[in-house]
Amino acid sequence: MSVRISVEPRARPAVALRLGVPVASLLAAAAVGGVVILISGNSAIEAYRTILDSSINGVRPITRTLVLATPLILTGLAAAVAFRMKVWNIGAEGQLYMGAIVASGLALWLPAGLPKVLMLAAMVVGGAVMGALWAGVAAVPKAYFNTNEVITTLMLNFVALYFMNYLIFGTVSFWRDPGRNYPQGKLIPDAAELPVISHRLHYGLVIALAAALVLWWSLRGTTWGFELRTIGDSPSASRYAGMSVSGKIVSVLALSGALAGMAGAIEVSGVLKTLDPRALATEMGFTGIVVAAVARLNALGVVPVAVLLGAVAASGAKLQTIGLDAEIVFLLQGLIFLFVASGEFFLSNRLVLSSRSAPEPQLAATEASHE
Amino acid sequence: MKRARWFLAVLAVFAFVAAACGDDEEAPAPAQPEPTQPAAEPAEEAMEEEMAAEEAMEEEMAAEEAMEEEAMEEDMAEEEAMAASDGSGYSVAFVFDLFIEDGGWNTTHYRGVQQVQEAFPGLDVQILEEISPGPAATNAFEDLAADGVDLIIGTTYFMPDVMPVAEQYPDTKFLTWAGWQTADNVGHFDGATEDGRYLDGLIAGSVTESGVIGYPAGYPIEEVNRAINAFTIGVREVNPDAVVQVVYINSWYDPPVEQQAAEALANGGADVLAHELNSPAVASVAEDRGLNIIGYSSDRSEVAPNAWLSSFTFEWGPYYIDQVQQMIDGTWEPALTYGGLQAGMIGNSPYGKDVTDEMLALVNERRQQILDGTFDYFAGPIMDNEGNVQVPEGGTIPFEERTTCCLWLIEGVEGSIS
Repeated sequence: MSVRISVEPRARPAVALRLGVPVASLLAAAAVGGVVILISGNSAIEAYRTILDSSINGVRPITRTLVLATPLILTGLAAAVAFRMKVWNIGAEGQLYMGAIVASGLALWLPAGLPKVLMLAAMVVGGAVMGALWAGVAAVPKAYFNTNEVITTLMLNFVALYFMNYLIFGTVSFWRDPGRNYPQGKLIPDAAELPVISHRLHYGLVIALAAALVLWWSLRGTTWGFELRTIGDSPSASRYAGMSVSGKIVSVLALSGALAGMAGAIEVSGVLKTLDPRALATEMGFTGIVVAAVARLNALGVVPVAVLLGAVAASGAKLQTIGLDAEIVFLLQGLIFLFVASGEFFLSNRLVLSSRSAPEPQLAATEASHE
Repeated sequence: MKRARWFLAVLAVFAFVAAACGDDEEAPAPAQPEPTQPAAEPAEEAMEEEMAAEEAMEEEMAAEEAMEEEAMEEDMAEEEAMAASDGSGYSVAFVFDLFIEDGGWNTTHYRGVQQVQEAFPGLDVQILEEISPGPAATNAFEDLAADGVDLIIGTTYFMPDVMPVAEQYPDTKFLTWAGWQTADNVGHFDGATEDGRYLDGLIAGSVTESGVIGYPAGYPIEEVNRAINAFTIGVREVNPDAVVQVVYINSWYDPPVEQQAAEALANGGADVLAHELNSPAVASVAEDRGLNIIGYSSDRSEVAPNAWLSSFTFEWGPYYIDQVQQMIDGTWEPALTYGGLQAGMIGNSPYGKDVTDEMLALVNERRQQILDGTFDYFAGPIMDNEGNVQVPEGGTIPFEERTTCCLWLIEGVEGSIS
């Protein structure tokens, strides 16, 4: 009678499985989503055609998808690198805001005639350093007093959010353009704008892709990466082996924060051209955690997952224009997240059915039939 | 809705924490294939049917709504509709950053949309909701413009997101709320809340017995402070010793925090609550505790039948109808429109049972004076609550300069903007 369901890690998923599961997940999401669309009284085929048309079908849709994917690549990496060491940085959201604040501040404060290269370097590095420092606020107590970083990084998000809102809505700060009917930030000078690749797609994408490559290589090809993974698996064993666990916690959280801060800097420089709290507080940091989870913390895997989420987001408005309610659009997006994430779960784990008393499943089945 | 992602993220973390036993790390993540959906024939008939059904429903709702509207507006709408075409062959889209049923800001705009639909039955009207400012909004405006929509109206501060799209689509006309930079095809609009707030203040000041009015608000920005100042002028005109206690909650919509703020102000002795927030939470607190409530931009008498006093309302409908009419007539010009009672962009809700005829007489008198231009509630001298003279004797805050006022709170307000 007592059949137990347990989850066991899969040793090494076959290649076909690794390719097939994400496809199957997307198809399953599409199928369930299709039913919902039909119930809501719309055409599922039309809806899916719209998603493809406004995300990947043509140069402009692709650029739009990539604009939305760029910050998610960086916040996805931020989550992936920390989670790899089993340090749970839930603070990418706030680190992104702080990076955006410093990057926009630098852009407004530095002489507007500065060469573009210097200006952009200052913004991206400044944003990254600020993100690292903001993560450091949680990292140092974690490393030396073993505080719970889930709580500290989460709470610091609110501090950063309120600080950012305060700069624009709460006071006439250096960032704010005074005398406007609705409070807003000053526009950054031309030199502080990332150059454009095509349409509105900016070179921030290249920075994000480079970060993914470097991080992927560092994690698998360097001592640093090896230590990081080892500490993640067993901090005590690592300490015994002579690794500096505390130092590593600080440096990895700082790196994670730097990536998120860089995302904020790039969003200001490439997309918003000002410190715009309403456009920054769109949960790019939290979405990064979803991206990292679906990518199974693989730095290269983060890229396609971020692009997928970017593609889904790029079609949101267009879906409403063909008659889908905003709620249905969000539901569809949620289904895609959910199915892809759970597909990944079943790829790395499998369900095992077993009986508590008898080791043989067949015996258990017989017993059950007798009762 | 965005909270769902939040929840998912936290869930993912716990999944990781829970499954933090061994895992195979060297396996490269699977290449994420692009979603493979079957391309198919456009199901246009189905779509059209759907749209027709939706339109019919919306018209029905609009008709219902209209019965409750002021008779004056109805006449205006009918006049406009009869004067020209029914809008056939033209399209208008409205872009909202939240849901139209929030009962506050967005609902006031949605009411305007319904009036547009009523005035132009043949007009193709689209509504987009939950469009975040930033790249998502830019995409939305671009999608609509590419679809050939003639007039696209953003109901919140979307100016930065609209400008690049407007440049690209010179034949499409754009309007956004509270923008300041016009272009050949971009205009902006805003309503002078303070006109209505002054009148609300007259009622609140007359009703309060404790002399304390609680006023939870969103952010300490010019527009909100301006409304609070005008409100307080009204309160103290009839009740010179009354005070207005202001609490900023740093959000426009956060029901639990709105409720806490309202409770705290009630505990502090306020017997009338006003607010500049979008949920029904403050009205519910007033009803539950037997206080009185001044609403924000919408009639809340359903939530608080006993507590209800009054609220100014935004009347975007007449403005929207006028803009659509100009678009159809080919006379549309980009403009910065800031309108209050005189422009018909500010109106008032039905009054509650605690509003006496005496109070109404005063309110109506002042309203008429403002309409006639014979009364200026911002006439000096005006002191702020830190003792500084903000408007000298004989001075005023000119209507054209109001939108950049106020980064101060008037004497009689207990609260601080920093």
